[in-house]
Amino acid sequence: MTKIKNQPQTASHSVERKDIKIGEILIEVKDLCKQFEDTQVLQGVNLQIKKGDVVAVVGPSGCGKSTLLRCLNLLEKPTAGTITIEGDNIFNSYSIYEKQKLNDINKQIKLLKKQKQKVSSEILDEYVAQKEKYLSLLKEEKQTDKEIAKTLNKHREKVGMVFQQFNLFPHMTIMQNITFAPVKLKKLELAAAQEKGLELLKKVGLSERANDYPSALSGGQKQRVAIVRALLMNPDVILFDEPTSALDPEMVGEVLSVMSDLAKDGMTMMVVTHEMGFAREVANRVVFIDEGKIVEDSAPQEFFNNPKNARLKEFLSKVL
Amino acid sequence: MDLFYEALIYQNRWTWYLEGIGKTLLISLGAVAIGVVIGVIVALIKYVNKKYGSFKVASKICDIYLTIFRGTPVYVQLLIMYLVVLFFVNDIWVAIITFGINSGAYVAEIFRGGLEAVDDGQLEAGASLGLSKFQVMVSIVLPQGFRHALPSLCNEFIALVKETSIVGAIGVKDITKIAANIVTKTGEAFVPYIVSAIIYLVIVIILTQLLKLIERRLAKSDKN
Ligand SMILES: Nc1ncnc2c1ncn2[C@@H]1O[C@H](COP(=O)(O)OP(=O)(O)O)[C@@H](O)[C@H]1O
Ligand SMILES: [Mg+2]
Repeated sequence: MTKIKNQPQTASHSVERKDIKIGEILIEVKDLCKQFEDTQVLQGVNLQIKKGDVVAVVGPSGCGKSTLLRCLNLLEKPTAGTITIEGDNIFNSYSIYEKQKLNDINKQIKLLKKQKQKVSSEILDEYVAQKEKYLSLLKEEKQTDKEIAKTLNKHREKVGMVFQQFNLFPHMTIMQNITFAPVKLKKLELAAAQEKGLELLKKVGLSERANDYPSALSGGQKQRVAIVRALLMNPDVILFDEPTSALDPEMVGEVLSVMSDLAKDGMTMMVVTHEMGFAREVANRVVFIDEGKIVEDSAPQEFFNNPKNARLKEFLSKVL
Repeated sequence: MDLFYEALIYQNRWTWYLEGIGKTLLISLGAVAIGVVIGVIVALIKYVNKKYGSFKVASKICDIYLTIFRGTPVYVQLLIMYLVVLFFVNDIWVAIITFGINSGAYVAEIFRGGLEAVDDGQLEAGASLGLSKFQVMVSIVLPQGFRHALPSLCNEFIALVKETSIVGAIGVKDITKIAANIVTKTGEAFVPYIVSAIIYLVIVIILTQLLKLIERRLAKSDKN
């Protein structure tokens, strides 16, 4: 189990930031599982994202693309596996397994106590001893959980997210929307944040709208603001969850072009998308999820022209 | 004319009504202030408990409070407070506190509704930026929840003004009690009670207009 290192905060701008070079591993996902009550959505996802990667994630609706993305900044808590970001483990998957184990043991003990006369006390003692063991393990892990929880927000600062529904803050102006978090989290002074914010807004063609409220903007404009909001946190990677799916067709292009500019600037991105053109032309890797696993992970050329997985072939024949 | 003279002019009785209005407004405003503080805290505890699973015990206590104060008549609450719990407190304060605690239970539900109307995506967007739960609550959820709840909060205040007309039971001379006192003096009920009814009506109409103004303002800033 990798322990989170509490690194000293150096300058206010760089929080626990490591100097990771293009091509080095930024995010590593191993055997990631996620289960909702009775549906097993992710069943052992393995993935490496290197700095500078633009990974497109495709797959049929409901296959777990959003779930995978949301696990990467712990908007969903995975049920098993590990996620390391810049070498730091960002969650502890052991406790869930042990809680289950403990539950089973408790049931056994109850059962044994009911039929007390018939079983030897040795078996019971054995179970009680096991219970103690798991309890103490859980206690230890709770401590680790706490340590991880403390650094969770710091990790989230490094992982930006852009949502299908934009999720801009309706009670704040565009400028407030984009500067609120970096200023609140002391990554930037207000004046510097506004200056940089305006610069980025200009880049996406929205500097004139800085003092408007989100409700005055079109969907495409809102999504461009949402991208700027993520950018101003100076993240190491940005996760996009179907960023153009809620847009009118004529607005898809303006958002995709902002995203491909970002990619050209070297931003690491993971993009769930149904825009196969974007996956083919902008991404350097495309992954396909089926039955809770990544079953194809290759360069776009290979992915589209020479797919190996049968389900992917079927999927591509439908969408292309 | 005599009736009118006796009810309002004689001994400057109209000034009594002014005092009554003062008491009614004081109790209503004091109660709504207490009610909003209690209501916001209770609503937040229950909301955070629902969203993040924390505050388990506090949330249970809030449930008990809501059940008791929404499940019994405020008249009975007032008498219990006056005669048992707060017997050592000045009667107008008993009225303010009782109505404050009672109103808090209703404000809590109104406010919880407002908080729950805030889209989950707002919490997720806040969290994904690295903001703490506390920062998300205070700067993102609360302002939006408050905005959702504001019209109902104003309605609660208007209802409260009318509900306070029972404080005469513990000897507070509000609008209704003043009218009743004059009735005892003159032996005539029509004018004093009609006057008090008109006063309530005017207050409510003014408050309703104010509410409409606020709603128009908000609608405008929403469009913005
Ligand atoms: N909070 C949740 N509770 C229960 N089931 C969920 C939840 N979120 C997603 N699911 C289920 O998980 C599966 C994968 O969902 P999702 O990751 O959103 O798919 P995709 O983004 O690929 O369309 C779906 O079957 C969905 O119903
Ligand atoms: Mg999805």
